[in-house]
Amino acid sequence: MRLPERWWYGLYLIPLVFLTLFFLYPLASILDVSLRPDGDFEPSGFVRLFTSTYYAETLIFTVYQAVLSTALTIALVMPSAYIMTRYRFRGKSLLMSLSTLPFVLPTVVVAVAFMSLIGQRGLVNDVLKTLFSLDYAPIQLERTLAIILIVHVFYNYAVALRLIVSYWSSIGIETEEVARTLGAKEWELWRDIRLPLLRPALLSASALVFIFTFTSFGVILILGGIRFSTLEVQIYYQAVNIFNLPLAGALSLVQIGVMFLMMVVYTRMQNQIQTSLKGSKLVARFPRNNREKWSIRFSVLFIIVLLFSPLLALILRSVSIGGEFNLTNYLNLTESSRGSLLFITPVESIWNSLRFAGIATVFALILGTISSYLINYRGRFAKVLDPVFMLPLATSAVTLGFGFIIALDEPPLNLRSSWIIIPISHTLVALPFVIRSVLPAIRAIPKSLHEAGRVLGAKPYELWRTIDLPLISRGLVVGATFAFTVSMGEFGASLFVAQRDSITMPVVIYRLIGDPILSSYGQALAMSVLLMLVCAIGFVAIERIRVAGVGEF
Amino acid sequence: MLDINHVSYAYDSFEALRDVSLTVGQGEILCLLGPSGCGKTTLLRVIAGLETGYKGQISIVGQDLENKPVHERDFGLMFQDFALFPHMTVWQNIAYGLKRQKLPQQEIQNRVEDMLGRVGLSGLDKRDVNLLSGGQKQRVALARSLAPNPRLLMLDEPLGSLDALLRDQLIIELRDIIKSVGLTAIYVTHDQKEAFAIADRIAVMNRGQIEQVDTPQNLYYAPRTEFIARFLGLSNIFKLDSSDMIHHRLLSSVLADYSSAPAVLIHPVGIYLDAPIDRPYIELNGQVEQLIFRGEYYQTAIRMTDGMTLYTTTRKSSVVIGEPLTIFVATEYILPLN
Repeated sequence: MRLPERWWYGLYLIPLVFLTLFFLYPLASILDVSLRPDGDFEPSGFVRLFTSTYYAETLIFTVYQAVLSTALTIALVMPSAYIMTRYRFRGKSLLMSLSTLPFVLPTVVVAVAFMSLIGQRGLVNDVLKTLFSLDYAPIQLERTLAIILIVHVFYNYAVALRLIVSYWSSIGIETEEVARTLGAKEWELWRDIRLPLLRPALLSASALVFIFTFTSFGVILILGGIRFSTLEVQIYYQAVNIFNLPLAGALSLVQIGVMFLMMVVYTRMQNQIQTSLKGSKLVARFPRNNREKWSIRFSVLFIIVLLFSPLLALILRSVSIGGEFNLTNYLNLTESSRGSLLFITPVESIWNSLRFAGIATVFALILGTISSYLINYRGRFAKVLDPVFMLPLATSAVTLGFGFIIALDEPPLNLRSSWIIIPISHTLVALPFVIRSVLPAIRAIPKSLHEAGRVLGAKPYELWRTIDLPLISRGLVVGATFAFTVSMGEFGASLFVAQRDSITMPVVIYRLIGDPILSSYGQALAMSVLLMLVCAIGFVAIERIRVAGVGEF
Repeated sequence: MLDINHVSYAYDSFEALRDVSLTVGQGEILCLLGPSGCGKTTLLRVIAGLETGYKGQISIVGQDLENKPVHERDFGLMFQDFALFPHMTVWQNIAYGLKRQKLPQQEIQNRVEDMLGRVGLSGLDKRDVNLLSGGQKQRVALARSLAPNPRLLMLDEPLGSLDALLRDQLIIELRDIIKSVGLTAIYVTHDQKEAFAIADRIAVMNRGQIEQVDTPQNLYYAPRTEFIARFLGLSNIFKLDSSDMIHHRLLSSVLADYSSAPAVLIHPVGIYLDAPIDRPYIELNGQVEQLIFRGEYYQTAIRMTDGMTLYTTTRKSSVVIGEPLTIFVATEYILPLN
């Protein structure tokens, strides 16, 4: 079959149609339900939002916790960033790549991990109780702002660290040395030279951490409880528990607005960083004295404890009951606990998760690859579309899930009762990850290769198969792995769209820890470990395959 | 004024400086010359205090520097890429060191104005440093390091990132400014032309050691080691190994103690086509092998009857390729090398 060459451009319609149906349409429905709940203009949701102090407080708290989390993360990252930038030591690159692990861990798993470390029934409390023969748990962090902040630091530490270290390493050390000869003391170096020079990286990292913590859902829902509700949690309550759709819609719109603004700031700063990167200079050296050696040790220890103690506690908790080694939690997964709220057994949800993740990966890979070509294609048309592909990044999973249930539950597109709605929502969440992995690979293909191929007689498809495909294959594998792990861990959207018998692992874990039965909690631990392992394997694959800089946020 | 006594320094496990001793006099411009990796920048950084943990002793006007932090040394430092503070204006860059000294505002203002005038940048005080040309950046960097009146100015390839034309012009300016202030300076470079133009004395470094400290003239006319001769582009160097008997005889006639030197240099300024009347010389016979046009002169290779090749410069009119040629070498320019 010979297609005219321009027909290939028809492929570009696939992502456009998909985004229109499953992203723009639900978004429009949110707008519609918040402004015209009954068909007439009636912004009652917005009126409630801005007149009631309760919702204003929700908004204020959302910003407040995000600002606190951001400040705390950056403050804790700075000493390590300094050490990672200025010193070389054995295992540094391993530590840097291991530290990114949290990024791929599902929120639900992390929440459970922190519960098993410093929660009411956590490892630390147990140890303290035995050590000091206490009959109460000394650490009371569950349902406090503190535990939310700790988990947010855990999540965003490596993201901020990587961003700041890579920028800092590109700044020569000479400006600092000149300042020292001119009489600047150590603290003056921080104030006059280091912090001002790091400004773009600090702003960029802050914007990113703010975005992540502003949309934090699973962590706050599980660890914060009703006392601490953010916009995300409130959207969920309003839509699912109270069924106040106009208000949920108004909250979603506020959410999208703030997010989009932050995305603009982040993208600007990223561009500034890109243009001012002069290529990495060698500023790192081995430590020379004990003070330097000890600060490196301390920093490494801090990162390891922060990142691995909760994961270790989770594993220990899952394989022990009453202090004894016991695999009952795992063996129990094939059955629902008596009186449980679940309609399927945990094992069945594992099958669900794997199936949906597989489908979402295929979808995201096809759409992401075509979208990357579309973004890469230089033309007026593509320029207009650029922000359209950025928008899903600025939309939280909860907003997406909410949009799905109000838009896709009636003709012309009634998918509410179909399981396909779950992989579709996961596809949208995973799409930016695929684009970020594939696009740089496409951009790196020199135009002359295509020209050489065409001169040698390759048809468009052959050109793609013989030249592009081999060159972007690493990017595709990284993107696919990202899509798979993201889908496995997706919580916010799944909570909205999953039906009784199509619920996924994260949703099951959430249901199980809400269950008062003790054996359910054990099952949640076992499920969390399994989910963590899947994501950790994906993480190792990504770290091994990706070429430097690809798939980086 | 600055005394460096038996200083050694190792980076991680690499020995960057090996038993270096050097004295710099008050008001002197001393140049550290050598190829990259010879240790010249390391020596500068050790003196500046940017590298700590050296062995040996460094003192300035008799005061030991070992435990003196960088910011209390009152030294000026200039880098190849200038290292201007990119987030500050020209004025703020120059005033930075003055502010650290907690000088009154008016005095800072006056001093910055004075510096701007000295380096020829008056009126540019509010300019963003990122918008300056290479030459202007260099001047700002110089003004910034001069402003606090340092006891010692250290320059690390300060003209390295500028083009050749600008370099030739700025090196003279730089010397004039440093001399007019009466500063003591250490100038690091790998470029002999720069070193000759600016230095009162030059210390040539090789593999972490100083091979010779001398005036530019002495260094050029009488290099003491083979490394220095080659580094300065003097190519008539002959190893004195036993296989070359004719060669030996020739040189032993002029060098009483040649056997102790591993090589000799026949300096190009001592090669004549006509016998000199005012100095002792030896006569060598050969054949013109190669004649390369270099503009002002021809580079000429002469193959001697004993097999060795000598390089010299001639005017075309006097020699022809393939013709026999007799040359005269002043014995004072046959130099033993270590």
